[in-house]
Amino acid sequence: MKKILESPLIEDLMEERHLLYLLKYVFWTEPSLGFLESLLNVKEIPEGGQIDSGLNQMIKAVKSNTDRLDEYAEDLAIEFARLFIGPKFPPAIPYSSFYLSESKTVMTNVTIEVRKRYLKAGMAVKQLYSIPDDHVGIELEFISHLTERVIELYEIGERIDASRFFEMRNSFLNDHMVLWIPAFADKVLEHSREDFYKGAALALKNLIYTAST
Amino acid sequence: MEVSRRVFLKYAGALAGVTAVQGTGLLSLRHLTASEAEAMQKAMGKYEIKYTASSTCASECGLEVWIKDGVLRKIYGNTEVPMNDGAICAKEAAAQQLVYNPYRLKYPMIRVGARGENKFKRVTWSEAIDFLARKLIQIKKKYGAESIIMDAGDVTDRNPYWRLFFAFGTPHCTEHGAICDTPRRHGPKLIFGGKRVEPDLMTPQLVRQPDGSLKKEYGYKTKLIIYNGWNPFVATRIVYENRGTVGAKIENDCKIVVIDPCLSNTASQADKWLATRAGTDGDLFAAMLRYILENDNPSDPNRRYIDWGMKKYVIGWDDFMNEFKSWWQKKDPINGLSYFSLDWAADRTGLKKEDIEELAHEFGITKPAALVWGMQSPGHHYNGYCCSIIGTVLNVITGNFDAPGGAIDTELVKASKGGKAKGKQFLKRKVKRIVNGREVEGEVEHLHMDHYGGKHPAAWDDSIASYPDAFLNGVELKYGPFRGHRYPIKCYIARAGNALYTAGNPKHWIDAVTAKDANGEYKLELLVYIDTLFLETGVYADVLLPEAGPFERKALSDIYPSRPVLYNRDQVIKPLYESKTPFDIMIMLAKKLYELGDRDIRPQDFWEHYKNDDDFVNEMLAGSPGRPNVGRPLPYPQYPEGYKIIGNPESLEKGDVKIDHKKKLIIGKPVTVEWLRKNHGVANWPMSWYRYKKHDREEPNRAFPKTDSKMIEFVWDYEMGGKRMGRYSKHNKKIEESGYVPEGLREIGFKKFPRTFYWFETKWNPYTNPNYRKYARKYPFQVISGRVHHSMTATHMVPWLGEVQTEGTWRKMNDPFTYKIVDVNPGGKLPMKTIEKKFEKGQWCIGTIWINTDDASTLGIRTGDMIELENPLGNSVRGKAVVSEGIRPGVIKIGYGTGGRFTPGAGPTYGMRKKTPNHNILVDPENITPIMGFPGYADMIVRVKKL
Repeated sequence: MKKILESPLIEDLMEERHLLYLLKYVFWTEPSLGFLESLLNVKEIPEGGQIDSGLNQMIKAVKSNTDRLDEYAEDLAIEFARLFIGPKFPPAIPYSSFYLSESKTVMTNVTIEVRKRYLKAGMAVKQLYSIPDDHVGIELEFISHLTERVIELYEIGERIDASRFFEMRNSFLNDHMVLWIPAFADKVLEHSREDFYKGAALALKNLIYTAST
Repeated sequence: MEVSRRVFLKYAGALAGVTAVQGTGLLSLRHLTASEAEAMQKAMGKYEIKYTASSTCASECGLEVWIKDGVLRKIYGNTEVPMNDGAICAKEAAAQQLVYNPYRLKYPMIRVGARGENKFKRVTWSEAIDFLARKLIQIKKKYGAESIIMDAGDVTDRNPYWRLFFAFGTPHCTEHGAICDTPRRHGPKLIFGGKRVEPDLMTPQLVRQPDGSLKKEYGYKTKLIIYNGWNPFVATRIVYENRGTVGAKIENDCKIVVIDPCLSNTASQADKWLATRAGTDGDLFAAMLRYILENDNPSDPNRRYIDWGMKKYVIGWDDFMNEFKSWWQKKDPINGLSYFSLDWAADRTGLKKEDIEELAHEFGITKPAALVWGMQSPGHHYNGYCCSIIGTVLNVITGNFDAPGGAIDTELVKASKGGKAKGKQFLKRKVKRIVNGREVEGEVEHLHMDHYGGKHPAAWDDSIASYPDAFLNGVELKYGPFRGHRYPIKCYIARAGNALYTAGNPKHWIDAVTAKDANGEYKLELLVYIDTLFLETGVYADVLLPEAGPFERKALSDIYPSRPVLYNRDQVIKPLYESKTPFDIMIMLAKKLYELGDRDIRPQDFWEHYKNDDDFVNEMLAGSPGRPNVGRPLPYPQYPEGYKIIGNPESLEKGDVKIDHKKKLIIGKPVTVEWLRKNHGVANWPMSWYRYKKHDREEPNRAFPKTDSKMIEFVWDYEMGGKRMGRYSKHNKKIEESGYVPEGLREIGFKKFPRTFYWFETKWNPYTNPNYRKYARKYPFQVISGRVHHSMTATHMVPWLGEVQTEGTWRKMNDPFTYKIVDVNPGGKLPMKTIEKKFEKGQWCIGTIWINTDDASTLGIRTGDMIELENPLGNSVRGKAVVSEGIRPGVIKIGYGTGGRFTPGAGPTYGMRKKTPNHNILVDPENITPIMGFPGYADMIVRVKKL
């Protein structure tokens, strides 16, 4: 269903980007102490769906470790490595090509198609040819950046360009992200031993479902 | 607005504070400039063709690869590399599955649990290097740099690591050769200054023609090849030998004889298979030599075994032969027979006397011929030295050494590579130590634990087998200026190689790296693992550094060539994830060590010296090919004979050279990485034979081989021109000066390294060594191992290779399991696809235990039964039996590295670890060979129990 760029939707995007910022960070790197401390200040979000449940699960997990936040950051770093990096086989491979390519390897045609999308938006991965372009954290950053652009352009009255970026964003979500992120999130939900990542995965999965509709 | 998306209307309020902390800047993406975007747009979708060499496989085949969008898309053999001559096998075709496998090591990691607990967290390179550098400096300050070992795993990529650690001040930089086959190489090293003898089978040859032109020549001259314990069809990395063996047989009626307790794939295609008792290779060779000496008759064309003209090129002939013959007067206590007689050899080898006689006769009478002995046998036996010495002598006296179609020592003729890049010059630095309360000055190399230690001073390839003991008990130097100096080993850097699984008994290694001192700290304070895959050694490491994988790093290749050939193992794609090349790791660590105050590391030796890794490889190439202009036909007849050749083939051919008569050098334009890139990735220099002779007369040229006398040496501690010479002489001098007999020599009753021929028995062999006779009844089986090349470590990551079964040690005998495998994908968008496949029983190869039919029948064992092997040391392994007549009774064989894998990195093989045997568990950790401190992998006996 085609979305039309108008004020209420822009307001939505302005809200949504905060979720994107949060999740791109959570899935790109291990949480810093400062990041965890900032979550301590977040009040429980009124439950309105699975995104809220996921966020609340994360926040609750952090809050229950208030008196040992340093150690908790270490626990999460270990869990991040175990889930997404290794050195043993990580159970939640964070690259779309693993889910969408028949070979289940990295740097496949799926990755190159993602690279083309970034290029179309005038962007490229910082570690081009080394870090596969279709890492969940990079894709979330791409979407959050497109969202930013839409908002910026809209606000200065560049409606055509804003629509162009909006279309770019929607097609990336609909043609690509929604095809694999739920499967990735399910892996995290299945294998994570930390509520923090389970909550993040739940929020991610439902954010992608919601944002792509 | 057609869709309500108001669900988001609470997050700005809730998460604004979080956003403020983490920021909204780009973490992983960047904006391109218009010109960058345009350039990238133009480049996308286009193929680039590049030349490189394999590093997914030890064969290092020359490759032509097609790259698109920075991704490896197509892999072909490089037609200009004679090792593989344009061909590649299934392993290389599977390289993309290895490179783009999502289960590689990706980021530096630091251990957070106990060693072996498998708990790590990611750190940045900066953190990892900082941690490592601080720890290295701390260890150096407290114990001396000699407390650090850098084990660089393989030869090809070792140089950056060696350079850094030699410069840092440790003499302990080693590589895989130390656990490969040092007893096998010993004879060629003593006699030629070489290493590995191979048949003259590498085609095409590049041969100077009478008209001065160069021509690629195909075809084979060899008439007889004897492979003893050598299985090129399955176990070796020498690709030209696989096809050359078949080619010589078919095209030149070459007879192939295989001596092996097992009907190996090579034996199955041979004209004759002689199934010897394990560990009797030297016995057979000794009997061949005695037979040839006793029956040679220059005037009888049917008995003209010895090329007596050879004496002109050999020193110590009489000494060697007299010592050899002196044994004929002795009776062997094991059987009461005269040493080296046919009857003696028949009793010990289990072969028929007539077969031994026929073999000796055929080898003596057939020319050209090549006698080749193997890595696992005799290379893995306690007394393999004796065998390799006799084998070398046999090739020499029959006139086959470096003859067309004969036996070529590839170490002597390959192009020089490495030069100053590998940093051995740092070993000459002066250092001081307090020894017994006195300050002593010496050179870094005088701190070497083997060369100046009390165990194996002639371990010129190092004794990795001795490391666990050194981790536990430290080192005491017995020779040289630092005699009496004691130091612990506190750091072991394992770069590839996977020593905890491969370098002897894994239990022994694990005990050593997890042993703690009285304070509860690990005795070995730092264990670093550098690799592309996560293998057993990594499980116990403190720091994991991801190294750039195949196609992502840069070096040079040359696999046992018969003439100088070098090909570029170029970096053709960027290192994936945050893996780094050996060069980058060297520079990063060097800078950090310098920054932290270490002044043995100097900018002018590292980051100021090399702008990039091309510079580094160019320095490796600076002296290439570095071989003398010798042989027939003379490689460069336009230049002086015997002068060392340096330069790329193009400039040498054009005459674009300078000749330095004083230093006897022919210097053309250097071979460089750029030159190689423009020339199909390869430098091919001309072939010649009889490289120890003058090209136009029967005289030694005194430029070849690489011995002290530049002659073939049958004596290894002698005087010439008032100088003491020979490969053992410097070690004997050390012994004489200190009066300390090395422990290795004491074990075999020697007081010094022998001047010429010597003999001693192997261990754990009840049929040749009387000390073990008592075990024969209770432990009636000898257990040996052999490589299955396509089942080795890295290839476990590629499931389809697990479906190719081999001999009796790698068979489709799995229990049912489900695994994701990469499968062919006809009609799909990609050539491959991964599917979740259920492997029914009997569809997947696992490491198995090969046992003879009669033995199995006696024990009630049938193929597929689980059996247990237990040795006299109480160690046991379990696995499934493969019952066949293709193995000698009383011998059991297990594939090397095929079973008992204890890292998930080993793919589905990990899942079968409880039902597959790890041969190394049976290895006696005390069985370290006496001359060079090598693990006695192949000396063991077991009893067999059906489970």
